Amino acid sequence: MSSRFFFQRFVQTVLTLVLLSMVVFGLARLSGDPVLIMAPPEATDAQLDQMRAEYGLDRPLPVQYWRFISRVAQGDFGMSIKWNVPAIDIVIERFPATLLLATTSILFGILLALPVGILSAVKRDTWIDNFGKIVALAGQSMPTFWFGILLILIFAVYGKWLPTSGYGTFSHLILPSITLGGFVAAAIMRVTRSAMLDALESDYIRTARSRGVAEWRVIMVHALKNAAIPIVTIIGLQAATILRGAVVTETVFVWPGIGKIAVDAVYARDFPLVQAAVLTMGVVFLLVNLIVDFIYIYLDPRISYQKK
Amino acid sequence: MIKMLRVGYGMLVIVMCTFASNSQAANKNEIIVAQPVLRQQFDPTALVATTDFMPQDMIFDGLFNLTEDGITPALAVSWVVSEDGKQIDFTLRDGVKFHNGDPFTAEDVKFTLDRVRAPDSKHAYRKPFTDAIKDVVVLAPNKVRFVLSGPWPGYFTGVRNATVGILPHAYYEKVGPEGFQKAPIGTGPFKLAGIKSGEWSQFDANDDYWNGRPNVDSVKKLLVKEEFTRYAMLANNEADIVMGVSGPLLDKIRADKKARIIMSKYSGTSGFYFNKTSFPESQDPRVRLAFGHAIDLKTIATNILGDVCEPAASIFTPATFGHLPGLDIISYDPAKAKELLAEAGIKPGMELTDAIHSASFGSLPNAPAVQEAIAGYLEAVGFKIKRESYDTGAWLKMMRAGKQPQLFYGPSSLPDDGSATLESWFLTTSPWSSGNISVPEYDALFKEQLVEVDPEKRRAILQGFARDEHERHAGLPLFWCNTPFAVGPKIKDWSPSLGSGYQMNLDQVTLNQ
Repeated sequence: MSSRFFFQRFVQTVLTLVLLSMVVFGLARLSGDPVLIMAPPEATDAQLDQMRAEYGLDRPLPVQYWRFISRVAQGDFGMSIKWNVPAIDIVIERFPATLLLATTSILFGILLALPVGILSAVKRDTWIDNFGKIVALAGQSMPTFWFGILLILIFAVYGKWLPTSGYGTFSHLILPSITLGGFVAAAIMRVTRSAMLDALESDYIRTARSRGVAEWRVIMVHALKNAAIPIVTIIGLQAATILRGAVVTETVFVWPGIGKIAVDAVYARDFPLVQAAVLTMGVVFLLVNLIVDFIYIYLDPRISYQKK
Repeated sequence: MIKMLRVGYGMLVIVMCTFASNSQAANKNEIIVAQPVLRQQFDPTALVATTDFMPQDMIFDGLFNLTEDGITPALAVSWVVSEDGKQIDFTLRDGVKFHNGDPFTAEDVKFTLDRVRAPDSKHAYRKPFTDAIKDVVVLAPNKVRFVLSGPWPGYFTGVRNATVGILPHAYYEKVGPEGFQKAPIGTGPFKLAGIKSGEWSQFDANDDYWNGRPNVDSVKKLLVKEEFTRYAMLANNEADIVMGVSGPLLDKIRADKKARIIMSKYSGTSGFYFNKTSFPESQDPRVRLAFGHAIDLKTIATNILGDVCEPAASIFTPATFGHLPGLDIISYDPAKAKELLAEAGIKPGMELTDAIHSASFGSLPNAPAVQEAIAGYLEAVGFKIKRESYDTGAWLKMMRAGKQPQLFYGPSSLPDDGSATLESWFLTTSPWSSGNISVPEYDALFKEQLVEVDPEKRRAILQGFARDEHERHAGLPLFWCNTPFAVGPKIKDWSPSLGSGYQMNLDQVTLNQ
């Protein structure tokens, strides 16, 4: 990995962020005028105009965007319209909770999906494989909020084994992690199965078996390492799914993360908070992609980002 | 890859071990309120919406309270209105202290009212104050006078006017508006103990409260957007009071022996209105009456609204100042509706658009399902109905722009004083009906009650409107709604405020031991 690679990826990341900021800025304003929600029913046009001026919403969009982006560069996303505190403070305060949920969810997803996916491929067309396929299909098909509600009903309301929602102890983490992790597990499981099937039919696997290598070693070392690139790719892509799913999961489980506050901000047309939340999530996603790029090189040194 | 899996398992174990134990379970004398709306705007002189009463009711007191028993003293123990109605002299309660120990005096009342009326005031409902009050004069430490530009009888019947929380003058001046928002103090039954923006607010009992220390040590108000989660929290004893339950979950709570429903009565009213330009046929009284006969309000109230609402006989609820008892509900009679429509020359198949606010809180729970039911009933008498559902922002934008479709639903929460509903919906200048109701008699009645200082005469004027409107049906009353609260076994007794789900009187909660 050369310094040129780092530089290229850095420039790409910054450009992507600038584009993202434009999209977020534009979409937030497409949702409507926040002053219309904040003002009392009998507010006159003059009062509405006065409120717009207070929040800088009376200026032309390019001016608003320039003001926004130049402040963002200094870490200032403006004051949250609804909560009356700096928007970035709200996001920073919630970031650890979202990171924790995302981490445990992706870990849960990987730890569930890899063994089942590998087993499905090894035991192809047996009941184990069919069971794995059904689990994957169900996981992909069930809406996250519905799955979450189902888990609450079974494990909290009927079983009384776990809390319904909230934050603070390990038991609070279980249901949201399963909800979110279950969804990503399904996709990882499918790709693992298919990548492993390809790998297991390769010549080098036959060679390894003919050399008398133990079957577990053939599967877990020879096949799995060669099947790793599509698996790592899908895990990287699931980062976006996790961040998207967090919006719903955090709302259902009252998890104090960025997703929950972002939903509320969208409904309240709290532009500064929407922008801070989405851009933060965008940065996280780009970082995950960058890490995935590095892992590619580790897994297969033949991959190069340098021009030939 | 095996190494990665090992690392993964290891990380999961680390996360499990390092996730600090910090249980949210309530202690014995703490109650947890799960609610779909959380407001954290604590300055009563910068009221943004009526939902701001939810936190302000905890921390502050007004000069008096509006209750089921009428007006009851709070920070004012008595008051005298001059004969011409242009002066109100208040005698204030002695010995009251703010949460920081500062004594409450007439200076605090003046400071609060001056801030509400200031040119740069951000109080959403400041207009009645700026119109009516010329000056607030301190007569003595415990006496204050409102000098009015004219009689303002509505001051004593309107929650938005009467219950403005009184600020501590000296403290507010010292910390400024931003400092006050961070650390608000009042004379109220609870002190703000902590907040997490957009998540929760915690209040601790005020040991020195002038009306007696609250029975609970603390109250935590949690924002829980998802209705099912709120229900599950109650079922799992993680919440003691749950706000905003509707539909099948209401039935589940009613069937649960450990939980029960307590209502804040008559917290909302609603009506059905007509656009006279795009639907000129609606100006024929027979057409409006036909709409009334076409809709089975009782069935909707029972099957969709879970009996939280009841069919309305008038736009004024029984708790509204100006309510006229004895008015009958328009009977469900689809045959009569068809007959009236035929007489008015409306042929079957007429297409109409019906707009509803999808998220109206308090005034009509489960609004989208109600819209669907109403549309179904109207289709049964021959109309073709296009349903349009708006979120709050889009709804307000449409209403402010006067772009209501042919039929539109009109909610009104906090229906405390009839004149407020009259002003919002039934005047030529009403902001919500945008000129679609233009009845000169109503405009005249409104002006008449504005200056009537005798409460009973004023009530009679508003009742006169209710009587006239019952004949005319410029708008069709739909439902009187209560705000249901589901409460768990910890709560022994509690009566939320009449006519407002936002003023919860949590200081009066008593707990089972």
